[in-house]
Amino acid sequence: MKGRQTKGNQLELRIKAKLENLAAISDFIAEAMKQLGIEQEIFQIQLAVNEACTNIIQHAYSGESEKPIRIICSMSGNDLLIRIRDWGKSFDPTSIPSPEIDSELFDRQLGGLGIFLMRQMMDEVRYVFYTRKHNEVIMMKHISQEA
Amino acid sequence: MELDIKMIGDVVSIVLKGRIDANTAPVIEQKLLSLISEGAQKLVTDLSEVWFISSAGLKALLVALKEAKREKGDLLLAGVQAEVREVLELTGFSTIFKVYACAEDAAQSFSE
Repeated sequence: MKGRQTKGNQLELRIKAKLENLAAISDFIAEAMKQLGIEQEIFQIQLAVNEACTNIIQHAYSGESEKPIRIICSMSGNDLLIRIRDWGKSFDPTSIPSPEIDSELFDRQLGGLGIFLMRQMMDEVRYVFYTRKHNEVIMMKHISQEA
Repeated sequence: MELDIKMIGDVVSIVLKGRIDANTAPVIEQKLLSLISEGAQKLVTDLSEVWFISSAGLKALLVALKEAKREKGDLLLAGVQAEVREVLELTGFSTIFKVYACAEDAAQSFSE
């Protein structure tokens, strides 16, 4: 199951929560950003979306699932808005402490890097949990200059 | 994701092509750990054809670097592209790993 849709200025992908689909999700983001007139920041947005979807697969769905991830991209003025929805367990990565990026090799902890990168790549990252329905990661990035 | 092994003298160069994400990182980590357990101490990860790395990829490289150091070896990075460099710098990984322009330079550094 892999569906792409364009509704007005909204671009949408619905895809199964599988790790092998991370590459297709990046391809969708590249294509969607081009359609929204974004060229410079594509890698940063791909990385933030990749981290969010990896968290969904590994934590919200506790592993690969036949259930979907839905990604909706849209522009509001110069702000890019990305909403990523899942139907798994509520998982709030913001509850994970940020990694200590100055720590030495053998003190380096492995957790928290994903959410750290999402926050670095985007201007705003929020989680919304809809009881018994679905979860949503909402990410916003201000685009300095549209093509 | 493609993974090739190339010898540069006595240095093992792991040439990666494509993207390193949660789907491909476990394969890379396992390959690096098995090379180390087989006795490889001088390792270079050639990233000149890698255009995407996520936190899962960083973790795989970090696990391998720690293991290499435990075995008195080292794991160097080479040919890092702009996007990957940005991620390494943001996360502080650029201070943990030694980064070289190309695999040959990295291999050469073992004999200096």
